[in-house]
Amino acid sequence: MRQTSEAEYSDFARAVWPQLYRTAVMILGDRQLAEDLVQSALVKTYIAWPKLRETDKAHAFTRRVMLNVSRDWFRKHSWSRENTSDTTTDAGASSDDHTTALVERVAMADLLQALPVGQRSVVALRFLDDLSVQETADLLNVTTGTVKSQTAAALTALRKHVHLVPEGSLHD
Amino acid sequence: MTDQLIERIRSHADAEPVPELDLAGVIRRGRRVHRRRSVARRSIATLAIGALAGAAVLVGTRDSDPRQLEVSTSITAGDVDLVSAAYRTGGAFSRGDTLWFSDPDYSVDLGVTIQLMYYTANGVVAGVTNDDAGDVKRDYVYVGTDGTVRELNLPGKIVPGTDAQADRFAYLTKQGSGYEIHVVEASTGRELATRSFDASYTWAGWDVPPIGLTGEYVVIGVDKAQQVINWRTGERAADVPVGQLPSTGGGRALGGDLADVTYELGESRALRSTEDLRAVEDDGGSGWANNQLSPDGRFVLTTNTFVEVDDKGRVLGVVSGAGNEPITDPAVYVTDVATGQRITLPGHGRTYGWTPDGRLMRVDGAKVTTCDGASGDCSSRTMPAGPGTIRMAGKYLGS
Repeated sequence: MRQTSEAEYSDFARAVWPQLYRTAVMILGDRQLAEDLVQSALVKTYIAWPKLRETDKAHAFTRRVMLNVSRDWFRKHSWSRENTSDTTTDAGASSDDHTTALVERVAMADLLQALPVGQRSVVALRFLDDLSVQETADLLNVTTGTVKSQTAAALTALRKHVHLVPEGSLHD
Repeated sequence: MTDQLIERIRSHADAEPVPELDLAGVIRRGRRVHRRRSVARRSIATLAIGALAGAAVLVGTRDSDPRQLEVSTSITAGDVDLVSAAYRTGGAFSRGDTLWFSDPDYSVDLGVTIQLMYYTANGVVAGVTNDDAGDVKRDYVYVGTDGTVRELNLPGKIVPGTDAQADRFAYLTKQGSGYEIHVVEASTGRELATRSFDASYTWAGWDVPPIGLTGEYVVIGVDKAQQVINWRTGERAADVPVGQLPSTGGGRALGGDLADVTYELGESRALRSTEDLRAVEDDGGSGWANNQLSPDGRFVLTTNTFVEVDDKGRVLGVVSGAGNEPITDPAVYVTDVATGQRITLPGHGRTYGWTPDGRLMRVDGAKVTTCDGASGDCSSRTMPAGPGTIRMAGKYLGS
């Protein structure tokens, strides 16, 4: 790769890293695996970089690779909903407010991890990556109907846990 | 309510601490995959050409395009000063197509086999070949301590002269009945000077005489003497008596029948002799020894034994330079040119190379050792395991 092209790639990788990482954490529920997953996707993007050229294309490519690789991982490891590492431990929480936030965060992480992988993927792509139903369906290789039904199922499951949302806000 | 829930999901994700991206690691992995694919493609192409005609492979090698070099490096922009410092004291060495600057963490993969390396101030001039065995005609590339690689496109069968203290190398081309000296800035390829000279040259097998470069001078091994020319002015300085191959460094050069006198270039003033180390036969002959000057000109390495090797270059044994008696514990001698102080180290003519700053270097398997030429103090580091032998830089005909 030419040095200028490599510099462009480096800028791209740094820019997309946080978002891809957070999406991967939500899908996998494991920070270390999420880091590995996004790095693997970025390696493949590096190799394809001369053909990608445009940042938007590259971002979509990386996201697609990431999901394909994660699907392989789930398949190979017969993954269900096990979570092998704590995704919520942030040191230094001491005040009451901080403790409350931490408890809520633990609760949200647990709830998300309780969702099936398909629902977590839909939630991550639609609400973190702001993808449309059609784009999400294309990426996950499912129908738009499946995306809609999985989105609804995920939100319903989350909504059942009243402590996640402010009191009195549960009624539409 | 749904909006609030989605907002909560987003807030949860946003609160996730993001580790720092190991961008260097990602790029390194990408390059490795890229290079593996390229090597596989090239191997297939070579097989196809080889099936047509053996000569075609050679032509392909000679015409190798610099853009076909698939280079990857572990060196990042932030490492450059560290790599340069490590290189000066630890030297350069290679195995297969990987070149290390002193440290296993400072590597450059060229995608072609590295045959030999000569020191310049900020990198090496490396002879490379697309032949995996490393014994087909070479091309030269410059490998900088910043990880950059540039093909040099040097003409013909030549051995360039390099200056370990400067960003320069020199080579010769034929011009009419004489020769032309080219002095080049190694890191950029910019030609700094072109000078002409005439001299009889018949003694060696190369198209042009061997050349050494140090400071302002080139030292050219022609028939009757080593001709010394100031490449900046084009003026001829005092010759150095005929020697073995040009051995130059620190503004000095070796001369004499067995290259056992160190000369200061310019006036060719004799500084130090190692003649006393010659292995002399009982019949009182002139004796034999081999001498090499360190790249910084501070030390002379003398061996007075012969090394017996097989057709693959493996050492079979060592015998005395004064006869054929086997030597079980051969030694080399390192003489400090300034003081005359001398140390002895175990080894023979193939054991030691140099680092750019004049430390001795040896390789034993995956262990690379450098030794101070004055005190003999040594330190070692172990390189990653791998197939093939590690080659040292700084040896005129490779290691």
